[in-house]
Amino acid sequence: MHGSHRGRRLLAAALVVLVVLVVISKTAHVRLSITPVEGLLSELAGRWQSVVAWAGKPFVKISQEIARLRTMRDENLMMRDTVLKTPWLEADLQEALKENQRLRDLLRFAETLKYVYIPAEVIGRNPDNWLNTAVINKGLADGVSMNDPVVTSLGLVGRVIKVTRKTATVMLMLDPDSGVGGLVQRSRDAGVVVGVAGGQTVSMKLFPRDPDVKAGDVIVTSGLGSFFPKGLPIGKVVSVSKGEYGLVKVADIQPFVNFDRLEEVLVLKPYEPVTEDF
Amino acid sequence: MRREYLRHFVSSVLGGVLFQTAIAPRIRISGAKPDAIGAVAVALGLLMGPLAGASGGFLGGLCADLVNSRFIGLYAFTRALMGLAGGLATGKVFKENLLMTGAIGFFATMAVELAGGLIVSWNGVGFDVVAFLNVAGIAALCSLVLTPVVFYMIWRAKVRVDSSQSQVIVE
Repeated sequence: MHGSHRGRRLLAAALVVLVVLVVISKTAHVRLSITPVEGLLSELAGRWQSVVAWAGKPFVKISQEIARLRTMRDENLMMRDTVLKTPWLEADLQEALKENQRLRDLLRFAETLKYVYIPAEVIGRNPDNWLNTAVINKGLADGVSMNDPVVTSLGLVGRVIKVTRKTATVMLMLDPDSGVGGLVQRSRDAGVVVGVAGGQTVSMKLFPRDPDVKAGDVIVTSGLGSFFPKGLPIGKVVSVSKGEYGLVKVADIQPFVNFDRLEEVLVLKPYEPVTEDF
Repeated sequence: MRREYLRHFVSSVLGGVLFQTAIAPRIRISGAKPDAIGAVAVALGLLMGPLAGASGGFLGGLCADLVNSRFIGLYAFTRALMGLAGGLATGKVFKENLLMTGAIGFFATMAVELAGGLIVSWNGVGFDVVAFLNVAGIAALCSLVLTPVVFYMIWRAKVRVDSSQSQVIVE
């Protein structure tokens, strides 16, 4: 009697495990729609996460200020040393500043022509350590839609993979399911930038047989895929190695965006010019 | 599980979910997040038995999965395993020793992080073993600290319930 009871419990446990594993497999990759339960819970959690994000802001600001003061002190010492050694650098600096301003103006102009931005705040991250997603406080009601690219002023962040009325989930570039068409800015060699589970960097699998890529090269989006526009900065090459089976070269890339300190982002919307009927 | 403990069970799981979905991701250490739901599951398992631990981990994990995860059930499944591990350890170790509680949290986190990594990999997602071991190790170290704290909080609440119950019996 006792044995059959135990057997039944074991059978029930095995059944539960089986069902869970099937559900995990079925939901493993990016889905086009979400279930109503997910939508409702995401909305509720979005509100709670917004409150926490708002309450935590002063603490984040203080820690950032401390970090910035440290960086500034180091930079200050280094720059003082450099300026003392080479006075002509000041003139160069002025030139660079002016050039920078001009390029900024140009970039701003180009950006206003190409895209519409939706500024958003990161209010949550995925609970586990296997994947990399973030929740933002803008959703369908604000014009965010599936697969919209997400950026910061430093570069590419990822793309929208789930949208509710008030929130959206962004699959970060670090996520193992993420694939971004990339380009070595210097040599124009193309490849695909992928994330890995548990990794804090991304890697680029290069298409050409003998690609021209070296440490320090800047990688930008190629615009060849259907999600990301061309020219968004991705990161800098840290090292280059032969990939699995030695068929392709793989470049390890340090993204420009610090994903641990992701706060404000921009959701890019393709610019649709108003056409007039004649 | 006794009915008097149900309130503490629900509030512990809810607290774990709220912490894990909103606060834990903000205190990432080298890419790893502290695992509050796992800590709650282990503590519930140690204090209330394997069923309470596993169901607490499963419910909390499922809520976190539905809020913001792509693999629905993965976090729930692994945290249920953590609760089960805590529950199975309860008769075998001196759980009042907080260091022991931390050690159970450490090993349980390490084991389920790797189990989860294997499930992720099995579903066709890229898996960098070295990077992942690094993250799993840091997450396990976080559990070493977090689990005794959560255990102590739930244990205090449980003791209060027990003492109020015994007062009622005496009266």
